[in-house]
Amino acid sequence: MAELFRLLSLQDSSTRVVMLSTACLAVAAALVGSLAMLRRRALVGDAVAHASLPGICLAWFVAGDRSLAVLLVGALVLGLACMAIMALVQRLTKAREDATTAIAISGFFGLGIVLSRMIQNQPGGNRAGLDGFLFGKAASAVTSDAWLVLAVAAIAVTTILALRKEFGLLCFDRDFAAGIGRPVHRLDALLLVLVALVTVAGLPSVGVVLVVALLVIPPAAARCWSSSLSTMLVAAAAIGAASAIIGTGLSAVLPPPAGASGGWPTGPMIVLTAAVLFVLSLLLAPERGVLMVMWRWHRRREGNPSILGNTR
Amino acid sequence: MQEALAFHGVSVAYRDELVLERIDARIPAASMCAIAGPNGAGKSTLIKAALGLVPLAAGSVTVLGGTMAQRRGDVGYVPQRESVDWEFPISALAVVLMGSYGRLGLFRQPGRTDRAQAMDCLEQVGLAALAERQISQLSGGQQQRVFLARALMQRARLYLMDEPFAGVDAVTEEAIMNVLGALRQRGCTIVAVHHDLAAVRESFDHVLLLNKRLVAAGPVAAAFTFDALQQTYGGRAAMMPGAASDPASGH
Repeated sequence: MAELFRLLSLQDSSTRVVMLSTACLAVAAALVGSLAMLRRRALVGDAVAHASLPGICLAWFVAGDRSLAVLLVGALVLGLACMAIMALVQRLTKAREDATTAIAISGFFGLGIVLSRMIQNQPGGNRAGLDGFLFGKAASAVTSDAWLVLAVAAIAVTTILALRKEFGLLCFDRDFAAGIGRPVHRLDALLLVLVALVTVAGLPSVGVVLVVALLVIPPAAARCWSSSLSTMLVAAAAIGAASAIIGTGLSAVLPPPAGASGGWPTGPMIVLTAAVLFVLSLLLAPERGVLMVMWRWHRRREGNPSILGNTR
Repeated sequence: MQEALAFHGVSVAYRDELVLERIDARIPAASMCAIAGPNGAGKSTLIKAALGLVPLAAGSVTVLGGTMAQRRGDVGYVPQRESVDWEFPISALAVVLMGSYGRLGLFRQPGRTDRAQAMDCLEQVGLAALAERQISQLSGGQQQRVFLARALMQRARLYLMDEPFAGVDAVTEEAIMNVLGALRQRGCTIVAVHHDLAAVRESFDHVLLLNKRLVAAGPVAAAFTFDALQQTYGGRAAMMPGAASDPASGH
């Protein structure tokens, strides 16, 4: 009980740091992910995440300094390279986009696993360091890592808010945007760079495998509640932040699983919370929610005939 | 005669396939010009080439006496309805407001006067009552009219429209025609891809018949001949009513 109070009042400094940084990251990811989803680029984040694993390994080999920032720069470089390769393949061949994405995801991830095995056999290549990137280890975040995440989140949020009108137009009607002279290629590229940035910033806490959830689940849940781009952005940010705060809180408060060495993993708890919020949104949303649709259908069948056929 | 739009030897290629070959055509100002031709004839591509949305393999385009880059603010565009996702979370009014973005620049948001103008454009296409409606809840004809209202919001002198009559009923078609007629009265030029050859003959004064190459261009009375249609559509034009000197209609 005292533990719970300590947590809720944010007295515990390490939990406070984790909660703040994951919440800010989740907000940034939700905003960027909303636009990526509307632009039908939701899975690009997954490709970037998987390509970042070999990037981290290469940075480990190349750089003498093995700080988090250096490893993440390696992740970002390979993530962007992966996106460039995918775009090039799209342009030069008739390969299907989903196939290209799947090949990129698995190919880069395979390379990453091979490279990380090589690192484990090196002197000083301690296993835990790289494993942390696979599934995340938010609970062990330190304040310097949090600053990195906060900086990335601030850049992403500011860019999206400043250009929200243009990004909205780009996502809805790219041809029209180009017709009025907007630099659609550069806006597309900027959006992809933002996806890469928040993905890489999410690696230490949520991990390669799950980070795409922060980009996809809150926007998908928000879509159920929203009738405009602004409300969707606000709702996605709120759902993302709530997932991060509740997930982090649960992993800190719940008694650790019997016989396990550590506590509950923070990243997966955040993702699970987001998934629960998504299911609730699907069920409860006022216009498009499953329950509302079923209720309206029921009422139409039971109710007076004048409602029959008057669907709009 | 002043030209609103002129193509000078325009060729366009997608990958290694030529989809438009050496198009030379002039569309006079304050005219209503239809672009007609079979599927895959390059009609949409010609519109996109004029707007600079596809790279030209050869040739150039003159827009209102200048380049597209110079005249962008004077050109309105209605893309094909299928080119966007109508499940997008946005209201009809917000779509129309996009017509003001070209004037607003990258960072400024539309204001109260822009909203009033957008309402006025919706009024002109008869959709003022549905301004706050989600676009996913509009019928196909209503969606088409929202796109038209957005083009009106651009306050252009030249309007390029890609199948503005696709999938609309007779009432909507007449409503759209009335708006286009009013635009022309004000001296605007309208260039529209159109599939209904009878309607082209009835409502347009100029026509470009296209099948990768330009088959015929000019005033409807001169260019819209049975021979030209047969060349354009490869013999299937015999079924098309309304062609000038159509032997079938002579009997």
